Order: sequence, then C-alpha cells, then structure tokens
Amino acid sequence: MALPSRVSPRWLLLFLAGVALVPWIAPNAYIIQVGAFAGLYVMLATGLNLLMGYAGQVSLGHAGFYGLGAYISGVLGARFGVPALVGTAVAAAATGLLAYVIGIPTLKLRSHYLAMATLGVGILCHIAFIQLHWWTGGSSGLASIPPVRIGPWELASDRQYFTLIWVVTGLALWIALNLVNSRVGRVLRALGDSPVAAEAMGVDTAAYKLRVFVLSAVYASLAGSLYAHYITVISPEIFSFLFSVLLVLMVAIGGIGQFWGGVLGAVPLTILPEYLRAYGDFEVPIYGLVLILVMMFLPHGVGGLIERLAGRLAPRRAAVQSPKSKVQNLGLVSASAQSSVFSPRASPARGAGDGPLLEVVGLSKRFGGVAAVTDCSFAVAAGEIVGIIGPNGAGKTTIFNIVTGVYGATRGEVRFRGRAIQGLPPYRIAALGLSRTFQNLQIFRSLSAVENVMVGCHMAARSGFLESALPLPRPRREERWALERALACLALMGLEGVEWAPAASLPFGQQKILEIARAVATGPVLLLLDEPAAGLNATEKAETARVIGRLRAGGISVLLIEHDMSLVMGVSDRVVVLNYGEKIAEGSPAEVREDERVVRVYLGEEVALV
Amino acid sequence: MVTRRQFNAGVVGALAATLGPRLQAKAATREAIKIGSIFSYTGPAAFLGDRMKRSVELFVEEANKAGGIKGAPIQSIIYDAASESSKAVLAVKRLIEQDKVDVIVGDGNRSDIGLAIVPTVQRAKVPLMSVSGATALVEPVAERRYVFKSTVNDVEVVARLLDFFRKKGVKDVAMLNDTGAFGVSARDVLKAQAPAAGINVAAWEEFAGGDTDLTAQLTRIRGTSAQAVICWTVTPAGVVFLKNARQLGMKQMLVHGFGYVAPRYMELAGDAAEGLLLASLKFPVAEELPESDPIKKTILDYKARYRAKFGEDTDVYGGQAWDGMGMMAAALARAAGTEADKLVPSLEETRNYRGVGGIFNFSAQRHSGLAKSDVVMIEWHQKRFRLVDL
Repeated sequence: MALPSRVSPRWLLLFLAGVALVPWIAPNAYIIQVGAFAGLYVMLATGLNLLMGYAGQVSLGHAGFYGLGAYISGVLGARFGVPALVGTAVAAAATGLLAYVIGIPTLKLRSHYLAMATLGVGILCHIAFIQLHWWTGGSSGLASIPPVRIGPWELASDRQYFTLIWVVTGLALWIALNLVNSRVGRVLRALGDSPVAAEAMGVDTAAYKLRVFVLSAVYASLAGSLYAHYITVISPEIFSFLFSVLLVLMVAIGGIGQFWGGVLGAVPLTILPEYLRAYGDFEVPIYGLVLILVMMFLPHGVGGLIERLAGRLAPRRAAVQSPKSKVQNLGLVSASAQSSVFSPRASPARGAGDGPLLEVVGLSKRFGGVAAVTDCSFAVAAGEIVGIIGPNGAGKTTIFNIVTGVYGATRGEVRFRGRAIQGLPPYRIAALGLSRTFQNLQIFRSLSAVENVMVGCHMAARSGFLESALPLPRPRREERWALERALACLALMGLEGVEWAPAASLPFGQQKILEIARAVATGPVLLLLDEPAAGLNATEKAETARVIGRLRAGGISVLLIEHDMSLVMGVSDRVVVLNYGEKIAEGSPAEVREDERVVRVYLGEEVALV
Repeated sequence: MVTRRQFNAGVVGALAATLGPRLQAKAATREAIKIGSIFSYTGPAAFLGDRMKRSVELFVEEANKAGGIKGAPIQSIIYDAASESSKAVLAVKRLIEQDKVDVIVGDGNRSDIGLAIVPTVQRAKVPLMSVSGATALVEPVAERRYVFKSTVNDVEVVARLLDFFRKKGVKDVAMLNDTGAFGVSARDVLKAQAPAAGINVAAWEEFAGGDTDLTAQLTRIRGTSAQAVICWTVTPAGVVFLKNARQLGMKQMLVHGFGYVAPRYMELAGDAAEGLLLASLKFPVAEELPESDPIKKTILDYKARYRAKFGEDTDVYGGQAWDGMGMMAAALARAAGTEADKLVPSLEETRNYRGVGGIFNFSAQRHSGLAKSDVVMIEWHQKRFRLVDL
C-alpha cells in the first residue's frame, strides 16, 4: 500500500550500502575525508530540508546550531575533560532546547519570523564564539579537542571517522524517512500547502513546526560535535552567516521538500569544490557557473530533475493502474468500513432534546471600522441542515471563520454542544467535532486525493512525533486504519477511481467534493460547507446535493453557505438570511422565499421566476 | 594518474567526462620535489594571501630555471583555503594523501586556519612552514615537531617595543588592543614582559575589530599618565584609533604593532597617521638601511624581481612566503632525502639564513626563526615609512 508520496526505504538502504563501500574503494584518505565532510553536510542539509521543504520555514541560523554543537562539546572536552560522546549529547540537548525556546514565539506566527529570529541567533552565536575567549579561544579558535572514544577504542583514522559520521548520518536519514512517510510528514506537507486547512483538520500546526525545527537544530548540533572531535580544532569563522546561506543553497540545489534533496545538494556541493581544485584559478568561476546553471535550469533542484526523468521513464505510473482494482485487491474498503465512516457522535438518534448543537448568540465582528457581523444569533439543531444566504459581503464566511476559531469575535458567544468555544484554536474546535470546507479551495495540492483525506483522519491517531520517527507497530497500524478510512470516505463521496491521483490534478468539482470528504474524515458532528457548489456545472451541482443528502443520512448536521438557490432551498431545513452582517430573516425555505425583505435585498426577480 | 581517474569516476563522473582531459595535461616529472601550499587568496584574508601565492610562484619559476633543488625540479601545488579553516583542512589532506607532497609552505595565512591544519600535518609527519602570526603554531615544540614559521612572534616585537620605550625615557604606556586573537595575544605578552622591563601600563583598553568609534577608550587613556598609546590590531579600527586620537588632541606618542605596516591603512588615516610609530620588520624601510645591513640587498632584490614579474609591488607578507620557500628549499638541499625525519633536523639546522624578514635561526627547541633584533621602529612620515630606530 505504497502511498504516492511515500519515499521507499529501499533506496536509502541502497544509498547507504554504496556509501559503506567508499572507504574500501577510495584510493586515499583524502577522498575518505571528503566523504566524511559530505556526511556531515548531508545531515545538516537533511535537517534543514525537513524544516524548509516540509514545514515551509527557513532557518538562516543553522551555522549557529552547527557551531553550538561544535563549541559546546569541544569546550567541554578541551577545558573540562568531558568525553566526546557525552559532550555531543549535552550539546544536542542544549541546542535543541535553545531551538525550542526560539521556536515557541516565532512559529506561532505565520510568515517568516523564524528566518529573522534564526538569522539573529546565528550571528549571536558567532559573536559568542569569538567573545567568550576564555572558553572558546576567541577568534584564533579552540584546539586540542579530544577525539571520540567508544569504549576502549579511540577513533583516529579517517576511515573510522567516516564510518562514525555516516552511521549517525544514516540514522538521521532513516529517522527523517520514517517521519516523512508517517502522518507527521503528511501533516507537514499539508500545512506547507494550506495551514488554515491543516488546522481545520485538527492539526496543531505550531506544535509540529516547532518539533521539526528542534529536530533540525539537533541534527545540526550533532554534525557540529562530530566535526569538532574529528578535526580537533575549530574556529568561529566556520560557523559564520555565510555557512548558513550555503546550507540553504544546498537544500535549494538538491530540491526543497524532496526527501533526497539534502543528499543531492550536500554531496555535490562538498565534492565539486574539491574536484575543481585541480583547475587552480578557475576553481571559483567554474563553481559559480555550475551553481548559476543549476539554479536557472533546475528550479526544483537536482531532486526535481531526477523525479522528472523517472516520471518520463515510467509515465504516470500511479494513474495507469486501475486504482479501483488496486483498492479492491488490497481488500481495503470493506462494507463495515464504509458504514463506519460517520462518527458515532453524529447520530440522528441523538435528538433535539439535548438542546441545539450549535448556538450563535449576539455575535459581532469588527475589522477596524468595518462591521462585518452585527449582533447575529441563530442555532443549528442535531441532524439539521441550515442554509446561510445573503449577498456578497454579508458576513457569511466571517461567521464560519469565527465559529471555527480562525477569527476571534468582537462580541457575542458561540456554543458548540453546550460548550463555549470562542478563544479555542481551530484545531481544538475541530477536535470537538466541528469541521469545514473553504470558499476558496484549500486542498493540499502536493498530496494525492487519498492523502488529503488521510490528513482528515489525523485526529483519530495517537502516535506522536518521536513515535512516528521509528518503525513502531502503533504508527503502522494507525496508518493502515487511516488509509482504509480515507478510501471509505472517498468511496462514499463518489470519488472512486481518483484516489491515487494528485489532488491538484482533479477537476474543480471533484476538488470541491474532496474537501468535503476530507472534512467528513475528521468524524464531525457538524459540518460547515462554504459554497460547495460555486463554480460547478449542473451535473456537478446535482452530485453535490446528493453528497449533502448522504451526510444527512450519516447523521451529520450541516451549516451551508450557498448562492445557488435551488440547491440551498432544496436541501435546507431552515435558512438564515444575512445582509450587511445582520440577520434579516430566518425560517423554512418556503417562509424565507416569501419574506418581503429577503426578496428585496437578495432574492429579487430570480425567485419570482423559480 | 590512477588516483585522479578514480576520483573522477567515483565521485563526479559526469563532470570528469567534460573537464577531465585538462587534468591529464598537468603531468608530473618523476623525480620532482613536490611542495604544496595553502593560501587564502579569496575571502577576507585574501589581501595577505594573494602576494604570498605569487611569491611562491615566482620562487618556483626562478628555482627551476636555476636547476631546481640539487637537480630535481620543484613541482608546486597551491590550493585556496578561501579564508575558511574547514576548506583548509580538506586542502591539506589532499596535498598529503593525493598529491603526496614532500613539504608544505603556507598554512592558509591566518592563525586560526593554520592551527586547524596543524593536527593533520603532525599526524601525517609532513613538514609545514607556517606564514601566520600565532606563537601557538610552533609551541610547544614537542607537539609541533613538524611545524616551523617564517614570521616573527609578538613576543619579540613587544620586547623590541619595550626596549624602544626605555631608550626614549617613556615609563608609562597604555595598551589598546582588539579582541581578536592578534590583539589579545599581544596584550598577554605585554602583561608578562612590562614589569621586568620597568614599564608601567597605565591603562588596558579593548575594542572590537568592527568598531567605528574609540573616543570612550581614548578619553579614559587621556586621563592617565600614559606617555605612549600602543594600538594592536590588523583591522580597520586601527584607522579610527588614529583619527579619534588626533580629534581629541592627544599629544601622546601613538604606536601601532607589526600588523599595521600597510600603506593603505596609512592613506585611509590621512594626516592623522603622520608621525605614527610602528614596530615592524625591516622590510618596508629596506631602502634606508645602511649598506652594511645583511638583509638590505635580499629585500631589494626580492622586491625588484617581484615587480619585474608581476608589475606591481609586493609587501612584507609576500616576503613571508618567499622566506618560507627559501628556507624550505635550503633545508631540502641540505637533507639527505625528502623524508620528514631527515628534513626536520635539516630545517632545525637553519642558521643565519638571510631572509627578507630578517636573519632566521631555527633549532630543535625553537621553530620560530626571527629575533628581537629583526624588529625595527619605523614612522609614517610624509606619506611613506621611514626608519626611526634600528
């Protein structure tokens, strides 16, 4: 059950097996040392690529973390006699902690605050390495760092260090591979595509970004410690800002967001300058030229080129296979799976006696001087389908955003299943059983259809970040379960046959339904649909109406924003009409249709014709 | 060229196919003596490394024209450390393991870079002639058996400076050093030497290399009994020191160390540099030395040859590489073979070698060849350096 974005561990094994041969075929220790440096840079670039490519955040201070690893364990070893491996562990822990502290405030914010913060931290580290000269030796560097000692053996030869470095790098790659292939990797890609949708699927995006950032800082620290104990002399200029830039360049050359990007960037950029040494004065120009050409002609890096070539060799592999038969062969979608798509929480039997499912009381929202919503109240009962209509700019989507936690309300109250939910972050509200779709599509474009829906299954899984980094039984079990559930959701929504296709390649109508399937996968009690039929043709609209019918049959209550009157009047039990942020009418479709004000401000002639 | 071909095939096959043939052109003569060099001729340290590299090229060309070393031609392999010690570490490994050089002259021309490659040459037992300042490059000798240096130590320069103060009747001085390795090391040396020399250091002040205003430090110094202010740096802040001191109307003797003997810096300081004293090797004032001076001709000769070849003037730093090559070639000529255990004693036998930096004497106890007597006091006067005290 290889998911489309899954990275095969077989290639990693093959790669590491190839690396293991290097010390035996290398003609001399110099080549081995170049290989060891390549290992360090692969570790650095892979960690940075997880952050840049998967969490969509840039660190401009990785040289600082690299330096912290080198200096903390170097100073501990040279000045206090701490063994190398202990120093390495202490450095990794300290660097990770620092990254955690930097990440908490900066990763809560969108945009590139992390880049700015890490830029500053990197420069601060560099200054500290120079200024704390009683420990670090200042700008002349720190010498006599003890070599690595493992049990009774003290590592001395390049071959031994090559082995040690590549064992650690191999582990780092393997952990990264597990993460990328796990629900964590999927969620990271998802939040890179659309953070707001990821949050709506119940993903605590800040927490995931923070963990990836810490992991990548720890990778950098480990590489730094290994460098220090291998070379035994370090000086501040190695860890300057320019090296941070070089690391970002490595990731860009290798392929941002591709698992092999770190390797494909770091290995050539380590080897190329060494190779070019033979050209004397032409070294720098040739090096520069190669970089320029790669950036010009390979916008997705070397990894992107390989992917394209592989795609040409095996054209549209995923699409050629009949996905339906694939699904059936795997025996994944059982009848019971289909019937269990809906949450037991969402049962029509849970009657109206429990009070309304969603209550919006006196809700107001102002953006500066603009009143988007004013004193609006309505309720949705269990099992009910409620439509919200009104002219553009009436505040419909704003209400959705307040209810789902994207915006805070200026005044008023939102209660869901009897509980006040304002102030809760979107992912917490999603966990309570409230899901949504988006007016302007927010599918995860870098994932396949089924993986989009699997993100919706995120909340049901329990395995954490570290657990996912290791091949433990629980993450695997949960992945199988999520796949099964996702396929069932797709089948229920009539999306059989496109499960394995890239979500971005689907026709617009199917993308809209995919969003509904993804929302259903979260197991909601109440689903907020924001213009599900906008931009669809008549056939697709009919399909959308059927889908909503199926939701109702499954016991899901629906709050629906829609401009298509035949659809909204056809499926809704009740309709709320907004105008300029105020509720002007509420009632059954028939009542609303005849309301004089509604006809005047919104329905107009159209309804008369209907 | 098996190794090179393997390198091509194993590591960057694709590039090798297009660029490979060039490599084959550089065929080596079988009996050539291989001298490797690492300089930083790109990056921040390039203003030193550039002339060092050219001096080595000049030396090799002339030596080979004159028949090489005992008939064996010199093959020179020069790599760029790009002012980065991690690059230098790989470069030195390549020189030793792949190019199999006999000796190395040039250590990336910065102390921290030199220090980074010392463990590698020590392990590989390949003699290295350093061209960088730090004393730690060659001391303790027991741990630096294979490392020698062709520059002066700050220990000698400071000692010479203290002699000069005594001679001029200066009793109280102020020290103003940068917080880099160069400045901090000189501060420690002064702390150790001043009491015995009977000099009182009235103020210890520091600044960072990037500082653009030193008035606070200088104002504090002005309030002391200091008759002379010593500034120790290689950074542009040394220009700020001169300008600020003049602006404050300080009448004290202003002194720079041997890291500031650069006409460019003097020009930047303009009138503020007039009358500045510097502790320097004889190199910048060679023309003024008496005919009897043993190295006057050596310096003028090197300067002239450099100018003839490259059409521009060399400097004292290029001279360090020139001396390093000269002493290494002499030691190779004296030694019975190119093995390190024959070369190191041969280098340690270097006696009264007339370099452009001074008279070099190495021994088994001392791998730094210059003495206090090689340092002179010079002054910047009317847009050029002139000799003040020999």
